[in-house]
Amino acid sequence: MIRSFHIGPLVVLLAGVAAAGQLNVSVSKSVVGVDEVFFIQVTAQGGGVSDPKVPDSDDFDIDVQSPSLSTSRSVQIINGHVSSTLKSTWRYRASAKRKGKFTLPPITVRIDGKVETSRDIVITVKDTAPLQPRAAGRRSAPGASRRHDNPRERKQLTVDDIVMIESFVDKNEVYQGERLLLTWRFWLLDARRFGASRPDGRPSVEGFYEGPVENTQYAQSRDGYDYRVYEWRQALYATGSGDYAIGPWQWNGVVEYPDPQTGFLASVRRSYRTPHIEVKVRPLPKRPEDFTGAVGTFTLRSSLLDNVVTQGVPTTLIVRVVGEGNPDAIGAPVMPALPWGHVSDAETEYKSSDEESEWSVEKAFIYRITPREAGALTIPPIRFVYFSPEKEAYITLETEAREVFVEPSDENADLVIVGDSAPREEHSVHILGQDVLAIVKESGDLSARGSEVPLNTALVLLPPVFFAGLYTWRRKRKRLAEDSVYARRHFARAVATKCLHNMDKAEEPVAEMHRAVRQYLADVLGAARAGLSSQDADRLLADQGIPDELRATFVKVLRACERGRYGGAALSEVEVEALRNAVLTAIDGVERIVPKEGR
Amino acid sequence: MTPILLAALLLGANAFDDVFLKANEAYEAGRYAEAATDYERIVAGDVANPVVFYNLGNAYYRQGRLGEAVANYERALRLRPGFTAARDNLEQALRASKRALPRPLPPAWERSLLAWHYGLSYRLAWTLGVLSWLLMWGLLAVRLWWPLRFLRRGAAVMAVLAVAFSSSAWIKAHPPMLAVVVDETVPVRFGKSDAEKVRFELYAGDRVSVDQRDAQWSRVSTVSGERGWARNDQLILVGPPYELPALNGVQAGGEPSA
Repeated sequence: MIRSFHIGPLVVLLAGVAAAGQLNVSVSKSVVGVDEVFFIQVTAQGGGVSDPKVPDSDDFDIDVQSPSLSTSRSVQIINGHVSSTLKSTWRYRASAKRKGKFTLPPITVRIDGKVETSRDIVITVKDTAPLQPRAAGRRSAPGASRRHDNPRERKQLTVDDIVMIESFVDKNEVYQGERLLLTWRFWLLDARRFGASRPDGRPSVEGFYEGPVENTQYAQSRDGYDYRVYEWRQALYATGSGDYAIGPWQWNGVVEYPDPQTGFLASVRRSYRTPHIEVKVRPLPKRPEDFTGAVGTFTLRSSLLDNVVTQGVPTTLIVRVVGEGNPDAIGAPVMPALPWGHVSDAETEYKSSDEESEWSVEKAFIYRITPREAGALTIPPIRFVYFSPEKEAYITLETEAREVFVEPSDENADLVIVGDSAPREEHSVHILGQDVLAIVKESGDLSARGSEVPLNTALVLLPPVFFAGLYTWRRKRKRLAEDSVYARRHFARAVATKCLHNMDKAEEPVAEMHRAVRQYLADVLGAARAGLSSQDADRLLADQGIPDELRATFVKVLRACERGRYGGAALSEVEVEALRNAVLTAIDGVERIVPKEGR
Repeated sequence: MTPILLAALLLGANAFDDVFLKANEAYEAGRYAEAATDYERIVAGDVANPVVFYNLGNAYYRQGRLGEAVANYERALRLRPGFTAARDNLEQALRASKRALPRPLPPAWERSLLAWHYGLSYRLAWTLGVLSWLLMWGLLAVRLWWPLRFLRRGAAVMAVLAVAFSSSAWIKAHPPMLAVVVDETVPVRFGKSDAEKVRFELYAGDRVSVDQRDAQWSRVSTVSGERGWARNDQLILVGPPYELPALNGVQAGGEPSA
C-alpha cells in the first residue's frame, strides 16, 4: 500500500512496509526535481539485523557509501523470559537523474536470519523550476559592476548558475623557469538562502615547481547577479621544456536554494570540472658559463656593513637580488677571488619584497670577507647573470666596486681564516713536549666552593634594609623633637606609669596620683594640664570615643583624688593602692584605643 | 666535640692538597694521564682554582691533546685574567695547533662599553660592586645627619659604580659558551646530521662560540662569523660547568669562584 502526504521536506512521505513492521523504507519527498537531493530512510527491527543491500539504479544516484546510522535496543521481561530487540535506522542521500516517474529499487535486509525486502516506492521527477534569488544585502567590491535592477537585463537563473568554477593561466607559452600564474576561482551566488559546499582540492600541476598559494575572496557581479568569488593564485615554474598540461579542477558538492514551488529549502548535488590547460614550455637558449639559474626580471644591489676594518676582522658584504622569478632557482652571484682576503660561502635569506610588485621576491647573499692584508683594498664588481623572457636574452648585472680600508693588526702576524685550507701537518707528543712553562706547585685555596647565594643576597639586601630602619628612626626622633603634641602622646604612658609607681615616695601620694592622672589625660587628649577637672576629663574622654567603663574609672579616680586633696577626706593606703591599680588598668585600656601616632 | 670537628675540617681541607701534590708528582715523573686524572678529581670536587686548570692544561698538552689543553688554559684565564703563565702556555698551545684561530670576539657593543672589565676577575668585579653598593648606602645614611650636597653626588657615583661592577661580575659569571675542538679534524656541517654537506673544517685547538646546543650537536661560530653544526663529542666546553674528559666526561661546577 502506498500512501503520500506532504508536511515538510524532512517528513516521511512514503512508506514501504514489509514483514509486519520489521522492515520499513520511506523517502523524504515523493515529488522531486532533477538532481534535487532527497533522503531514503530504512528502519529494521529484530533480534539480529544486517546492513541493508541497496541495488544500483539507472534512475537515481544513491550514496550507499556513507549513510547515517542510528540504533537502539529494547529489553522485555515477560513471565521471567528476557528478550531484546534491536532497531536500526539508515538514512541515504539520493537524487534523481532525469525527468519522469520511477520506482526505487527494492532494498533488502536480513532480520533474524530471514531476508526482508521493501515494497515499491514511486518517485515523480520534474524539471527544476527557475530560481528567484533575493539580494543578500552586501555591497559589491569596488570596481565591480552593479547588479542589474531591471529583470529584463538579466538571464534566467538556474541551479547551475548558483555555483561556477574556472581555472586559467596568465600565458600559455613560457620559457623554462619563467613564472606562470595559475588562477582558480569558485563563484557562489551571493543571495539569501542560496548556498553550496565549499570547494577543496586544486588543479594538478605536475612538472612545475610550485610557489606559495595566495588566497583571496571578493564580491563581483556576473550576468546581473552578485557573486562571492573565492580565488586562489599560485606562481608556477616549469622545470623542463616541452608540452605541459595543468590538470582539471573538480568540484563535487551540494547546492542549496529556495524551492520556487514550495518555498522550502531544496538541495541538489552537482559536479563541475574545468578543462585541462595546455602550456608550451620553451627551452632556454645556450647558457653562458656564469648563468645563475635565475629566470625573470631582476635588479642587483650591494652593501658593505663596515668599510673600515682591522686586518683579520671580517666585514660583511650583502648582495641583494630583487625581482620576479623563482627564488629557489636564483643562484649566488659570481664572487671574484680576492688576492688579499678570504671570502666565506654565501649565506642566503629571502623574503617577499614589497617594493616592486606583489610577486616580487628579494634574495640576499651574505658574504664574510676577511682581509689578510692592510691598506686601501677594493672589492671588484660582482656579476649576476639571469635570463630575461621579455628580452629573450641573458642579462648581466654588476654591482659597484667597493673600497675597504684595512688597518694593520698588531696581534697576529700569521692570520688564520676559517674557510681557508690549513696546512695538514702531523704533530707528535715529542714536538708538543717543548716550550710550555712548568706547572705551578703552589695551588692556594683548594677548598670546595660553597654556595655564595646567601652571602650575596645578604650583602645586597641588608644595606637598604638597614638604611630604611635608620631613616624611620631618624624621622621619628625629628618629629618627637619638633611636634610637642606627638611627643606628649608618645611618652604619656611612660611618664604616668613612672609617677604612679613612685608616688609612694612622695609626701602626698594622693596629690601625686592626681597630678599623674591629669597629666596623662592631658597628654593623651592633647589638652592643657592645668585646671583639668574630673568633669573636663569626662567630656574629653567622651569626645575621643572612650568606652563608658574606662571613662568612669578615670572620673572616679580623679574625684577621689580631688576629695582627698581638697575635701579633707583622707584615703587609706588600701584605697590608694586600689585606685592606683584601677588607673594603671584604665591607662592600658586607653592605650589600646587612642592611636599613639597622635590625632 | 670541637677538636673532632676541627680535625675533620682539617682532614677535609688536606684531602685536595694531597691530591694536588700527587698530581704534581705524577706530572714531574712524566705520567701525564695520571696527573690529568688527579687534577680533574680536584675539579670534580667543586674546586675552581686557576692553578689546577693551568696544570691540567699542561698535563693535556704533554699528552698531545691540544683541544683539552687550550680549554683548560682558557678556564684558568677566565678565573684569573692576569695569569701570565696561563696566557703564555695558551699561546704556545695555539702555536702548536694547525692554525692559531683567534678566540671569537664578544659583540662590538660589549667590547666598546665594557672594555675596562676584561682585565678584572669575577671575584674582583663582584667585590668592587659590593663595596660600591655598601658605600652608596653608607653615604646616604650619613646624609641623614649631614645633608651635604657632595654626599648625594658621592652616593650617585657609587650607584653607577655598583651597577657597572655588578654587571661586569654578572657577565663574567655567565660568559658566552666557548668550546674548543678536541678532534684532529672536525667537519662543520650545514645542519644537524652527518649526511649534511660540510661547510668548513675545524682543527684541534680551534676555539668557537656555541649559541645552540642539544644532546648531540652544537651550532658553532668562528671569529670570522662562519657558522655551522659540529658534533658535541668533538668539542669540549670551556664552561662552567666543566667537562672532565679524564673522568669520562663528568661535569663539575656552576658559578665561577676564586
